[in-house]
Amino acid sequence: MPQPLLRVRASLDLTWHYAAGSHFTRFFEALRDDGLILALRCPACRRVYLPPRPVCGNCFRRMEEWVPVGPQGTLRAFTVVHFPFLDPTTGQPRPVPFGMGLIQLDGADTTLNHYLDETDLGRLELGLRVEAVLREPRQGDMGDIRLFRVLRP
Amino acid sequence: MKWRRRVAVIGTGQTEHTRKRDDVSQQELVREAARRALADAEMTPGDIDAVVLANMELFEGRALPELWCAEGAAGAGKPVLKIATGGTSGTSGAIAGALQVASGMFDTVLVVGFEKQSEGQTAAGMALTDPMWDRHVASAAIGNFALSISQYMAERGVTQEQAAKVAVKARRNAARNPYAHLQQPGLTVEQVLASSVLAWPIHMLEMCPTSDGACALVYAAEEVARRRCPRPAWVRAAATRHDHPYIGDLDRRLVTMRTLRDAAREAYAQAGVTEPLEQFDVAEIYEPVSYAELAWYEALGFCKEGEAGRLIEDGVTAMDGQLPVNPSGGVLSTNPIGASGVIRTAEAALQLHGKGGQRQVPGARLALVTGYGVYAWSDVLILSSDPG
Amino acid sequence: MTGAVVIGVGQTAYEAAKPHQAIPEMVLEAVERALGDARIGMEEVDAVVTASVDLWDGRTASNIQVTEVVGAVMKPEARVAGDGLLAAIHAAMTVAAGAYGTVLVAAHCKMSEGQHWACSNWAVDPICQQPLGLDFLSAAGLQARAYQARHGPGARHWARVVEKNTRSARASPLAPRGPARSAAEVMASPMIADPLRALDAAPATDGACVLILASPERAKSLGCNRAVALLGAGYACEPHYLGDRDLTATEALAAASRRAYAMAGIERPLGEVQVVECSEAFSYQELLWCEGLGLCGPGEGARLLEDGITVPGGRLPVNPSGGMLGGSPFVVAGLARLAEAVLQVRGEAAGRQVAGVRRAIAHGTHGPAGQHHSVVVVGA
Repeated sequence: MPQPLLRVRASLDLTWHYAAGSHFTRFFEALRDDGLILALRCPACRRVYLPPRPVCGNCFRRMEEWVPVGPQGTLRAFTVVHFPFLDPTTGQPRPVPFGMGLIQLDGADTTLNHYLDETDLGRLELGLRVEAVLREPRQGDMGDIRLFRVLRP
Repeated sequence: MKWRRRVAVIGTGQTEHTRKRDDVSQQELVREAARRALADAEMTPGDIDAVVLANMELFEGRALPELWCAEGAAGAGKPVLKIATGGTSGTSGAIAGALQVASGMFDTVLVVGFEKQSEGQTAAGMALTDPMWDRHVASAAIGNFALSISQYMAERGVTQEQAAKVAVKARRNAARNPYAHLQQPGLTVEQVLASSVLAWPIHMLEMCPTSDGACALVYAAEEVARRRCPRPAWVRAAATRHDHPYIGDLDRRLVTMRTLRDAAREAYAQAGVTEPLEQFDVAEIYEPVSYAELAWYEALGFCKEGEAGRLIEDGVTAMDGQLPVNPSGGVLSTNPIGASGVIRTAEAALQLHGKGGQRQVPGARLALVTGYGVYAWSDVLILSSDPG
Repeated sequence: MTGAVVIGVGQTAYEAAKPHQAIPEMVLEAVERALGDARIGMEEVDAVVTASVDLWDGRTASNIQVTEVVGAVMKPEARVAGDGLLAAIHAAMTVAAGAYGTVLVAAHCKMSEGQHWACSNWAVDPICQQPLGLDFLSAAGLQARAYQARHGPGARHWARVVEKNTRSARASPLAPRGPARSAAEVMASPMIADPLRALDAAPATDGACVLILASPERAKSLGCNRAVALLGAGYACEPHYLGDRDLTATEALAAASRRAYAMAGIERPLGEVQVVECSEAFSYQELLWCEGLGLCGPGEGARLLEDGITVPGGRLPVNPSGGMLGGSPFVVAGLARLAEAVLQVRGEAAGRQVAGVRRAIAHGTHGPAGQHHSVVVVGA
């Protein structure tokens, strides 16, 4: 009779303390303190980047011009997820189904991947107007944007 | 091409890829592929000057795994280097190995890509994305591809049926590849579209699996290649492009896929390819999901924008079509992440070696290889029976 | 000659922690310095090779966070997940191959954000050594003990290495602010992995290092007149299980050195180079790496130190920058050693310049007890 194959078990339990850096610090402070979503504009190509970051990757220019964007935007992509992905913020599988989209906040050139309040595919289409719904009280991290609400006329 | 000297693939080897290889450790998995590649090249470990490994270690929770696994590729005592660039690890590793030979530093290099995903937690690894921004919504490749596909469908008019046909082609081709993980000779479009939806519109049966597997290539400099190999697969082009770090930065990713377009443009120029559909005899492209293959047809210039659906429906990329795409079954059938790009390269090379068995494209002399990773990183290689 | 030259060098200051900087900003600082040093714009960079390790960063595909700041958007980038000197050697090969005229090499690590020793337990094999709790610290302890068993007690000498390097670091504008350590302080510090004491280990630091490599032709066409040639390079890896190795024999380092010296036309490094920058994650390693680099015979590393050969002002100073003991992070250390070696050849190593440098050796290592080594010889 074949021997059972041996497996060695090891459990990874590590903690990291990520510095937010100056750009995300400013972003999260504005979100927490003023309920504002801030982006950065490249001085060369004028592209407005969300999230903010040190340089425009296309022009390799430092960005210093802060621009408030949103809170409304346009849905540029969408899906309804049925697979219970691990939520890294809770360590648990996400409840499904959930709606997700790429939202171009008014004033930004990039899009933000975030949750939608809609899970009915029949009611989702490109070009819908959406609005950021903020968490109260705000704490200064990405969870402060809870999801995007589809604006229905 | 302006490389200092010519390089060719003179041997390939891979494991039988599967969901779980409980019978081997990661090192032994590497050894299996390495031994087969050496045997294919009729070489011994002593003939290899240096080793390049490709692996996405965090998926198994490891760090510096090449230090342990290199011995599986007879790397102890030798120069050993590991490339880790997401899904492109394998093709970037393949390019790195070729460049090392072209540099004159080594005459022979063994490249081994490997991944033993059953031993790790790919989901946890995927969840370790940017901690400030992406992580809170991280939904792995399935989630972010679903988003891009909604844009691609709207703009290019591809249908779910056309995408499903890509999956059917892949899994049926895989049935004639003894190494492929998911072999489904009788798969139908109806079955694909009836399978559960992971994230709309992606169905289970049109998404790549996670696999355990390894694949190896032996590269040789021209003088060695000519001496040892009757039909070397010459590296005629290699190009790589990376892009912005956030999914939302990429303008309609699948629609534009600028990294793949630009890498292909450079590679085609290096190899003198102007009509890819006519000139290539076979293509092994990195398609994590059915729709991606359609998008790659357009980015690679196989057809005009908006015509990718027609290409699959007309059977242009089927085994008996004008340009067979993924005779191996592709990533859709087999996906040990660190190995997948090496598998594309090896499958292209073995076509030129005439060792494709039941999946051989008759008379193949010019092959296209692509790699894809993270959000929009792209690699393109061109292999030819003609040294150029 | 490897076929590549260094035209630009940029480093951040190395600090115990950089809480105000995320990794992209930190790396950008080094990139801008390197571009400024090379007097080129980012548009002149053809390709990028990065060095970072995902588990240390707590990021999958950790090079993605620096893509924009290293100029890799719509450019080729390869990430070598290991010591930065290895990344530089690979970059040199891509230049020698004729694929690229200029390559930017960037290494980063913020040791303050993770758990260095705990991570290193995941860098040893999962079947035999990891379950025993082996990590880079205990592996070094074993290696140090093996060294003592073969060559006699060494703690006094090791403490003097720490004294030498921490003192040298105070003169470097890049090293962390902090006291020089006396040998007595080292010998009095608590034991952490017998026979190694707390101050025998290099401190954890944050930082980034960037070098810009070019082909000689491209360097010339860019108007660069301070190019330093990579005269020779080699790297090698020993078996993984500690028990399969002779931990005192430095076989991989010797193999890597031989290769680098052969390319550079060096027969006797002690007489033919004027400075060495090596990656001594622990005090005893500086002596052991000197032996592996062929500066002396086995067990004679301490004699080099005590005879005043490898101290500042000696015949062959080792680590005038302060080395890793002076403050140089994991992954970055080997590339920083290369940066220092280049500055020495140029005569630009402010505060730590060795007189009359024509050729220098840079060394990098990673893995338990120096399993993998990279060696580069640079010169005018």
